[in-house]
Amino acid sequence: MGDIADLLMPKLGLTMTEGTVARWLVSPGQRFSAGDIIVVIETDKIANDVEAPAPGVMADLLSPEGDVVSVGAPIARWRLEGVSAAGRLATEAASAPKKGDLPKAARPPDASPVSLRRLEERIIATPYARRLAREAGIDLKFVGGSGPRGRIKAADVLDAKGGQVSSRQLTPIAPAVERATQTAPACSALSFVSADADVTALRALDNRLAGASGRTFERLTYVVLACTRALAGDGEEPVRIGFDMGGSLVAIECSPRDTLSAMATRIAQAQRGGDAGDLAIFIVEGKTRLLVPTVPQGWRMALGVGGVRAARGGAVSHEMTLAVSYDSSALDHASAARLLDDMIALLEEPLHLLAI
Amino acid sequence: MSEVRFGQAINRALADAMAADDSVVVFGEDIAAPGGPFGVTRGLLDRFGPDRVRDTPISEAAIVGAAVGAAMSGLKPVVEIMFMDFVTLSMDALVNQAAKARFMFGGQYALPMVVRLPHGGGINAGPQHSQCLEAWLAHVPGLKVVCPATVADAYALTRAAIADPDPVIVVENKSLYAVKGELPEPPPSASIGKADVARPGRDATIATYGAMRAVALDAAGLLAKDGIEAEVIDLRSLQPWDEAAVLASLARTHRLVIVHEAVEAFGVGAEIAARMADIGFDELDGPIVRVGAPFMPVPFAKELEAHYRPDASRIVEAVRRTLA
Repeated sequence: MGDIADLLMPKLGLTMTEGTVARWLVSPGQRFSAGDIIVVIETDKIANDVEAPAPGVMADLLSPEGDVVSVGAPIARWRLEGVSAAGRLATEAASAPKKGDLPKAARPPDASPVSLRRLEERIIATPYARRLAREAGIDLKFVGGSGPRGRIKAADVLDAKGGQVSSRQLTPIAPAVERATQTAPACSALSFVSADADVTALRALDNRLAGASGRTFERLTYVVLACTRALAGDGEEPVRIGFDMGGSLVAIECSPRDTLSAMATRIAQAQRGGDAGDLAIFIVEGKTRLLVPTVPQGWRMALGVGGVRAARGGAVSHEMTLAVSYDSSALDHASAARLLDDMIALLEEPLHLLAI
Repeated sequence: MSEVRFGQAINRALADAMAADDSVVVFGEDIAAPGGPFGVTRGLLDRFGPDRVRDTPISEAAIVGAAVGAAMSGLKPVVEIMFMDFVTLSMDALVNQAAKARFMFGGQYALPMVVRLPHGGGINAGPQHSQCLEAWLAHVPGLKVVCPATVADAYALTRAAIADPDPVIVVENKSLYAVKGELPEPPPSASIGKADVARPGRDATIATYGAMRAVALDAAGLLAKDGIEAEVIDLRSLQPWDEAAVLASLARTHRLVIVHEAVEAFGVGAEIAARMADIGFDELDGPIVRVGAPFMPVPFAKELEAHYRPDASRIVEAVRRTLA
């Protein structure tokens, strides 16, 4: 049994700063197994079950039900087996349990919890990038780094500068969307849901494919395939997906039974500038951390794919942020969140993408 | 405008300085009748006579010691140490006498002396005849250190060194002696401490000097094929070095690679990197990367020495690293 550690208020979304302890499902002294739901945390948007990342025993509940607690603040004390400082797990358990990811090395019991450190992690950015960000009033927290170890470079800040969140537009709009919006005004009831996808396994898979067959795939290929399968659900109906290619709107019809190679071929052979038709979703890729595309009227939703970055505090894991924006008068939040969840599940377990 | 070799340009500079000023004298080992180990002083004995062009005994301490005395008593000696490696034997005269005289005697003595030091080269001359020790000398207050890379600078910087009222070290890369280049007529002049933009570029700055200028230009050519425009700065002078020029270039490119043939550790590159990390901090958009020789004596074997000296591929790699 490990040391007593804090269970911290997890950060369940990029904009979350505090959460409500809605319901405790364990009481002090109670044992639990890995995967047991420990507590329900509510934010403005959604209620989340926080699962135990490892078996253990609850020591003390610090926040009673109904308490509003800042992200990163302790809400309970617990002991987890084989883990000496479990704070880090609280954060990750909430978004996606990563069972192979438990820190094995014992940390000194008085060390500050890892999740706190993660939240306050120093942002790695070049001095010039910092200067540009300062001058442009950009918060580097929202800029994805494309350099080694996720380092934010000047180019990343300049990219982000084009896409600063403002009242006029939410993101760097792909030129194709801009053109589309000239005839179709952006929908008025834009809403979005975003989450981080751990792409460590995806990158490893791509490397293995490179080693085995000498073939690698663009990130877009993986994303389009995951998106197609998520949209198709259990069905086999083809899905029409649009994306921006060098400033032109490209629309392709994708089948959930496509292989990676087939999808790569579809994308490569896609005709530019053709009729967009009735798109299920429009995909915009970028280097910024959080990219929320606008949704032109008549379109259902858009997917913003943020830049891949080294996970804060982790030397070998990488993540990227996906955002589904949608016309909230046409689509409900739960559907958008489910789509995002399904996509992330596929991207985080990319072997599913290889199976037909 | 005529095409001459690097060594011939130095010879011309020595001859022109001696013709212009009777107080300029030249001495060193084998420099008179034999014309110097690399032929740089060829013909000077015949033209200016044995009083002004002298062979010395094999004693570097005596050569530089005599130069200090001559400079203090009104001559402008230009002495040659056959290989820079042997400057070790003359360090007391150079570091404790030449570099200190103006300061210690309240400015009553100027020491207008020049020490020519052939360094480096990749000419398969072994660990004791191939070193690049310029950082030692650039570290000593009171010495100036220049290192020409082109035929025009071989002339101009040698003349500038002779004209300077203080001790100046002219570091000459042995691999350059036979290189041909244009020497304009009349030959150009230069100021000690001014760098040159050898090739303009917007993506990264490569600061270098001496024989590595040509290697850096090769690297810039290779990078250009991939659309990366590297700016090559030829420092020309190491002490003082043109901080303003390097900073101005860094402010354009935001990335800096420093290249020299000398061992990387504790070298000229370390000084430039440290200064730029200080005064150029807000300009940096990538790590400052150095390219130099590994921390080991210069190997004798040709194949090993070829690996030892920085080449274009290592510079390309360094530029790519700072651009990553």
